[in-house]
Amino acid sequence: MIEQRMSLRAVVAGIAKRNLLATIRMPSIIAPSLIFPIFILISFTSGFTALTDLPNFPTDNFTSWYLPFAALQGSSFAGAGAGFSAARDIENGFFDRLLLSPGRRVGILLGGLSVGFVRSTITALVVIATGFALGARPAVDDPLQVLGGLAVIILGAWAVATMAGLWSLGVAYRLKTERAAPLFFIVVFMALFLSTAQVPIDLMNSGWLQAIARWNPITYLLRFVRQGFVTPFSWADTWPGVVTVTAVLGLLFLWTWRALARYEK
Amino acid sequence: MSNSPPIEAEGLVRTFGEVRAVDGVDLVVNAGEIYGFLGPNGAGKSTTVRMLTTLLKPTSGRARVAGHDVVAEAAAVRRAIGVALQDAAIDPILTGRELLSLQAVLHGINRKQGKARSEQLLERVGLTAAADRRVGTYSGGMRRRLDLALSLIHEPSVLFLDEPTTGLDPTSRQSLWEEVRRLNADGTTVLLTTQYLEEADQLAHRIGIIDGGKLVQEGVPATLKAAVGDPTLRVDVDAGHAEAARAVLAAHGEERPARAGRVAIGLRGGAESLPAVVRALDEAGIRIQHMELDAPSLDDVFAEATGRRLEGADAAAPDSESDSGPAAATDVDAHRGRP
Amino acid sequence: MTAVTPAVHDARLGLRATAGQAAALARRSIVRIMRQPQVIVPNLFFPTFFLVINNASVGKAAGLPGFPGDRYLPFALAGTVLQAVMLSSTSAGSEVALDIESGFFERMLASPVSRLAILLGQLAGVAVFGALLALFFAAVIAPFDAVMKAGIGGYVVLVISAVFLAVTFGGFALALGIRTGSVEATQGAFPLYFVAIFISSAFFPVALMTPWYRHLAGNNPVTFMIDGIRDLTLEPFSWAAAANAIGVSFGAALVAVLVAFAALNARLAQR
Repeated sequence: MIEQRMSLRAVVAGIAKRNLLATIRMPSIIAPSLIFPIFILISFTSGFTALTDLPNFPTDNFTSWYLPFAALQGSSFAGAGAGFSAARDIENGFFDRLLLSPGRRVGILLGGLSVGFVRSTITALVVIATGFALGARPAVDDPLQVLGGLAVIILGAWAVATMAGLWSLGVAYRLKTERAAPLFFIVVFMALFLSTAQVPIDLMNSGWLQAIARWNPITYLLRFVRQGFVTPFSWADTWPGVVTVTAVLGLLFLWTWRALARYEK
Repeated sequence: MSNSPPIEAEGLVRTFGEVRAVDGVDLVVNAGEIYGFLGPNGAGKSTTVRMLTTLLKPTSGRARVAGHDVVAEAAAVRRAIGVALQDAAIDPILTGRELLSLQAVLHGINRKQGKARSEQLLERVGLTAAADRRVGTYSGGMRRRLDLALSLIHEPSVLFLDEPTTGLDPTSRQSLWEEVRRLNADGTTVLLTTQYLEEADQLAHRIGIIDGGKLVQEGVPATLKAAVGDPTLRVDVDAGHAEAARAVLAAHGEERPARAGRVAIGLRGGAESLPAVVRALDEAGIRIQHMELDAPSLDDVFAEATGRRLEGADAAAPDSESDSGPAAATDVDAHRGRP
Repeated sequence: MTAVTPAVHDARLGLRATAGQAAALARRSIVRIMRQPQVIVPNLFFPTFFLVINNASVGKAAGLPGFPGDRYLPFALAGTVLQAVMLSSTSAGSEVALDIESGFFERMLASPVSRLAILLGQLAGVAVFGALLALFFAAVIAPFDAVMKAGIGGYVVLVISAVFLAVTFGGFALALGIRTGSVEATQGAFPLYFVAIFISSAFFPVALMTPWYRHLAGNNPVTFMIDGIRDLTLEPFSWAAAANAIGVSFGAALVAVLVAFAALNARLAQR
């Protein structure tokens, strides 16, 4: 007699393991998601370095300024992979098998997101290492703050990976096709760049971008993750990022969860 | 423990916009039964199965599987059922063993038991040798077998098979039929959808014919076929003996149209009456060159119920006079009239 | 019977027939591109997005010493057009690879169609699209006080250069498509295009880059292509600048067509 004991933790772990195996076995996915952020980091920091000459630019080290953003950008690709995976499963029928399991459906969602944590951590570490090689240096002397600076970049990477993952999963669950893939990227891309990605708000050239950036949660997340590398740690730079990102994650989670709960094909 | 049938549906309806894919299906499948759900493409078979397996919510109507409501107690239903859908629901990147392991986890089976059960199932479906190969390298037949194994990991009491042999070669098909019979012999109730007449005929204890979203006919295959009418017996005799043969055969059934040199009747009593017919012809000194008995097929049953032939019905070379569909022909060697 | 070599065959056909064939194939090539929103839309969206975002974000850099011109939008026009033309022209490669995979290419080769006609025909679609892209982006930024300082002459040179640039990138893509016969392989080259754009003067002046990067970007042929056109955006019209812009892009196009020809000959030699 086979005993079935449902455990959300076990289901999430099982799906996470499967997604990780799938990722590792498809190097055509991994390579670009690592190479691209490194390339963007090199290209932007080398090409746009003169931006630090703008009056009142917060730092004279553009690599230090840009590195946290590059880590977030790379993590967004890592996170959006969840949507690709789900769309593929939906198209080839494997998603039905997941839906037929007796466990709670939220386990499918959480399992889908979990690989993003692993991939974004690796991406963030690779970007940090590359940044250091290119000349990024912490803005503070205190080793604890330096460690903190690295830690918040990782945390930020997780946050962005989860946001991108939730968004891409929500789209995948609703549109049910791999052809929706460009939608995963375009929205995430725009959200990242319509922020203080390249320059602080005060140095932006257009009022409309300033207005958008002021409302964009990514701006506050960037303030949070630039601590240690660009600015010293402060509560004023910490709480807005934590609050806005938590709120966005919560809303995205509900939006995506709703799609999964109502999923039918 | 509930005494209710493993599968029961009442007034099941499912619409997609304007389209009524399932239009009021009432269904009861008894414990230990293999129930064949037969119908052409687009009849509503898969949609019905998806509702019974909790993948789709009914627009209206109710259904209970393994004693649980498919909407209100969906998780309990999924715990009790195994499902192998029309498209084998497998991940090509993983190996067979890894998929079974994942399936065990999804069903909350502990690691030790899951491993043992996986090995048992791999052996059962003949995939032990291929278990560590990626599923993407498997043939169509192997994928189906793995899909079946996945659906059995938790020893379900009710098994849903949605067109399980579509696209398979004859050997793989036979092999899957054997497995279904074995499972049923072990006590599993099976609901099987198919568009293959032979499959329904061979496997099902009872069949339901669905067309246009409605259940148009239901019953035991033999009874349904018999209800269509007597099988057609065709006898080819020597020239000059046709009239005499006609007279002899008239006692065994109503004459039916036939070409020259052949006599055809609707044989009362079916195949069981054949020996008597042969004896009668022999006693009358009539030499039989060829004899064939076309039993009514499920296609005839379908045609009777819907006015159309079933799509994808296996087509034996049709006799131009025969109203019957595919022949389950019984060839009898030329009788030499020996005493 | 002696087999007729392709060269003799071409000579016999004559220029007129070649032109007719090229025109027919060109029509097909143009229609194919125009009917594929998945080619058109991303190649409009991303360059536009980068243009808008960069101007809105780093536009103040135009005030830095050493920045060509005094505003970012006019500076970015050339790089944006090149980016769009480059990305959209890669479809020439996947189209020919598709033709090879489907067998249509073999059928063309077996018919009395000259090789020149085949190549020009395949490139016609991206060339026309390149011209349209140039006009599109010029029109998009014009209302924002970003008109080409070289005037009408500048816009003419922009369009002509865009056509040659489309032939350039289309030609290289075509060569790849003909050599590999695989859509997947041609699309796998996409990162290279990306690298070529980023390590150039498309988004930021080479003079303001870090030294080692400046060296790379400064020697990138794409930079020469962009700077040639940029001179006409930022300066009044001069024949020298026009000749430079057209000359560079024409020269690149010639090289690309020769490379594509070589790929075609190599493929024919394999038969």
